[in-house]
Amino acid sequence: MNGKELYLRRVSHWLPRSIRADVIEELDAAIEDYLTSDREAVEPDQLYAELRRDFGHPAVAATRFVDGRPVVSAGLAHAYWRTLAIACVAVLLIQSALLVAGSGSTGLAVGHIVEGVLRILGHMFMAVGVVTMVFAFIDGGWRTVCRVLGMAR
Amino acid sequence: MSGPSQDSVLEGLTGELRRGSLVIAVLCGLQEERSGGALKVRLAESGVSITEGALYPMLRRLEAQGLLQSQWRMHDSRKKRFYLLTPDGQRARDFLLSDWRTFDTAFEGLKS
Repeated sequence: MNGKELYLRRVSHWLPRSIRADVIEELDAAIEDYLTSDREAVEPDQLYAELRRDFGHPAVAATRFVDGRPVVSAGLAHAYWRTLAIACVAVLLIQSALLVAGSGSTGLAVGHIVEGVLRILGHMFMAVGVVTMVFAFIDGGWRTVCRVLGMAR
Repeated sequence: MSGPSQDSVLEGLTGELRRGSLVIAVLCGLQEERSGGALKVRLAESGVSITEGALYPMLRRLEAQGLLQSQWRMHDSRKKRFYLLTPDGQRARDFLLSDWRTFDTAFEGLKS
């Protein structure tokens, strides 16, 4: 597999199926154009590195072709991070208090602490997921309302 | 408290400025039908540099927005995609250029 094929294969991996064939065909032609342009010849094994430099890392190159939108837009980013921080601190405090309260008179054994830390991490992941989903919903809903009202967004 | 270096600040500001202006450059460069590679060369000749990684997704986006049309054709025994401004693209280019000139005049006024 030469550098071009390897690069196209890696970009293809990151593309959604619906546009994959079309984008790869376009990139293939673009790379051929690039290879025949006025540039210094490189060794075949250096081609992949050169394509990565000029077309971007395969994941980045693929993402540029996808018209996706961020989960939480810049307008809500500050509120999102603040809420996330508050949620994580709340989880940490509540779970730590429960851990200490649950230890009773026997004190905190190592196993008990490990179990507690894992529970805190699990709840934190859950908090991150819930806060992100709520903000993604608010963000999407807000965009929809703006669109329905004919306000540019 | 140390903030970001002046170089990185300038780099960020230049990047922001270039993102919008590259669209105008691409629209101006496609008054005549060109392939992506030929467009890149044309832009470079005019002093506008753009990487392939930025150019091709932009062409695709502008086409999806109805500002460009494209056609696959054989050229030099290779299949190539050629791009051309649509009437909507010409209107968008004229509008953006006019906006750009208004800003340019405003900047000159603000500087003096």
